[in-house]
Amino acid sequence: MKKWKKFAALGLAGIMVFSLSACGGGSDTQEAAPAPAPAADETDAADGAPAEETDGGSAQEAKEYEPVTLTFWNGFTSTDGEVLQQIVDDFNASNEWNITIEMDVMPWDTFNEKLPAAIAAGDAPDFVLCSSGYYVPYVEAGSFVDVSEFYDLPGVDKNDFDPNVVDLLYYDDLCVGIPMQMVSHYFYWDKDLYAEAGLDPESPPETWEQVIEYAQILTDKSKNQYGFLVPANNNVTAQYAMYAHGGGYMNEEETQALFNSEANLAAFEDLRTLYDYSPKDSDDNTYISGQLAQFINGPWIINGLRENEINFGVAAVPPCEGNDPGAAVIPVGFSIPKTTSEEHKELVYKFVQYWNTEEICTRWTKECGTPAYLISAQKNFADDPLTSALSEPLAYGHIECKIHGVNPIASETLYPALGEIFADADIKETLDKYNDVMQGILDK
Amino acid sequence: MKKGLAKWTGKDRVGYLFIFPGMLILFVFTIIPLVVSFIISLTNLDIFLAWPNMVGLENFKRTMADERVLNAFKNTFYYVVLSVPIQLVAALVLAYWLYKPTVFNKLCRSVFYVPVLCSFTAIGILFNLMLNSTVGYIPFLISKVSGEPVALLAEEKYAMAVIIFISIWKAFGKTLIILVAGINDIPGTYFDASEVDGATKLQQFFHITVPNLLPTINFTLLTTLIGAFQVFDAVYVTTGGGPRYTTETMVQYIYLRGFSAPYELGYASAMCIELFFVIAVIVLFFKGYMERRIQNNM
Repeated sequence: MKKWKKFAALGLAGIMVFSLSACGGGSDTQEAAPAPAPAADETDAADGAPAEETDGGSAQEAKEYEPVTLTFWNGFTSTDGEVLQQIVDDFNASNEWNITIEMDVMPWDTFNEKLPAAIAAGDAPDFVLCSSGYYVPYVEAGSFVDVSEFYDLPGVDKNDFDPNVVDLLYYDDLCVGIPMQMVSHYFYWDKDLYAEAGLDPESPPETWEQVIEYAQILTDKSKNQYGFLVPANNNVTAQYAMYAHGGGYMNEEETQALFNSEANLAAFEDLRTLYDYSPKDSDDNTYISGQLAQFINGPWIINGLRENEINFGVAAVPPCEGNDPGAAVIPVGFSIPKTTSEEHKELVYKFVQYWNTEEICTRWTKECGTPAYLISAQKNFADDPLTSALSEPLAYGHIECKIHGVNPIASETLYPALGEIFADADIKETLDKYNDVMQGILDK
Repeated sequence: MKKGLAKWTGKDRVGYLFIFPGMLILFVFTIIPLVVSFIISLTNLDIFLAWPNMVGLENFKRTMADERVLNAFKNTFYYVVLSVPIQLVAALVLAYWLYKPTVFNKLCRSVFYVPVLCSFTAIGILFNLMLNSTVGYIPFLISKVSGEPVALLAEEKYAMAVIIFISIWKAFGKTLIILVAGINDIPGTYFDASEVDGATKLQQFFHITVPNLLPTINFTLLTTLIGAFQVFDAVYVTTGGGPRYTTETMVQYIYLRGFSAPYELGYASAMCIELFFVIAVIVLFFKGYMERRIQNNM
């Protein structure tokens, strides 16, 4: 009898242990549960790599390809993300390699929180989109592989790529990305709100001073209407205010912080003025709500403005009177984490090659407004006023903080500075304080 | 009879076998991570898991000089001091009102429990939309009174209060259900006898319900306290720690340091260890106090 009790107790304990281990597989707490080994090779064994691989996709003989799923992360949460999804869906439906791309879209903050952990755990996606503002930590950690071999693939014409765009995705000798788009930021205005306020809807401000003047005219808080948008947690508007006055974060070599320059002092005084004409909270919906008369944003908002039937105009952000215009250019590239298997990397190149065709580049430009960087696609927009306006800043723009990354710089200096200045702190003292912080980052 | 730790002999062995799976889980998912976290706090490990260097107590010294750590502790205490008592009192009052098994009471308890089942991400999106100054309904109503909409989550003086409200709204249903169960465990004869003696409802509440509910209150107080000190999702999905770090709590700052550039896991772990000790001291204090109260009540 005692023996049976012992066996019963042992059996119960064993059942509890096994049932608990079965519960552990479907965790819904954190998505980045570490895989025991690089998933790509095991996935290949499970999904089946292409049964036969050819040198290019143009083989005449019928080839049988095993179905393969590629995971693709990016931060295109704005309305251009819908267009990107459609293009991915079209590729999934039409490609001859039996590739299915699963696209996972998340805010860039979340992307930059999840991706490093996923790479460290060996659970990273097969490829991602990344922009110049976010590349630096990944380059320093060696997270992305060199993708320069893409340009040597059959069917890829490197000469069709705008060389500036290709070069901007090199960090020293490392080619971290293949171009996906090249954007800047622009001044948008709501023509209907302009007309209602008595302003000429076809004449945007020609100087930064006029932007401020118009913002005051266009603000009517009783109607929930705002003349401008100054987000406290986004670097774009503040950067362009600095550019308008001829200022910026630092020198070109990124060795000396210039955050507390006289130009920036004037810029932040303007920002504090404009903050009175701005909603105090904002998200992507704010830009397409029809309640914002003027704002600075990228071309990704164009699709949303069209969908919401907002009668908008777009132009380069004007500088202060007598100053040269300035702009930030942001190359976005397809990058491949180091955890991606060779087989999947070859298949990723198939999609990237599909993307970098005249047809898709033209479609992307037409639907999202981003300037075309393929020379063969640029000729389709030679007479298009919208694309001309969107291409204009690329001629004089620069990558902001390419060596240190604009994102960490802004997080540690610009955002807290904006918060304090909007809470009526002394602008000079605040800029001096965060200039020291920035110099500390540059000195590391 | 003296009671000590059961020995690993014949019949006592069975007990150890039964608690073994639970102990294994505790060891693997709590003890080991705690020890590893302490070790990481002594290094400069980053999220890319490059081989780190030992830095000793440098991370801890850095937290003492970091204004944001002090600010985060202050915000966390502010959150705890307000959210825990309000949640408990609200749940206790409603539990006393709704403990009888009528249809109406059961319906109310179910409705109050629904937010507990919802994901905080969904709730955060909901409240962000409702409180948005351009498209939100609440600021629209406020604008009818004050003339202009108020961005409650973007104003320093309102943001933390709103987060506390959202947290209480989401979580008090769970406390309510636990307290209802506790009240239903109180023998009905106590209430009958007090009615015969002429006690009012209020007197019954303070002299019968609350004293008999002390063990349950002790449990909910401690679990709510521990949860409040670790508040993260309420802040992350609504304000992200802003405006101007006025809602940035300890776990929010720890997450930021560990999972955004420059991804300082060592420094974040040091803050985790400090938070652990703060929570441990406070919870042990309350545990001892409540257990003395319960003993005195017996």
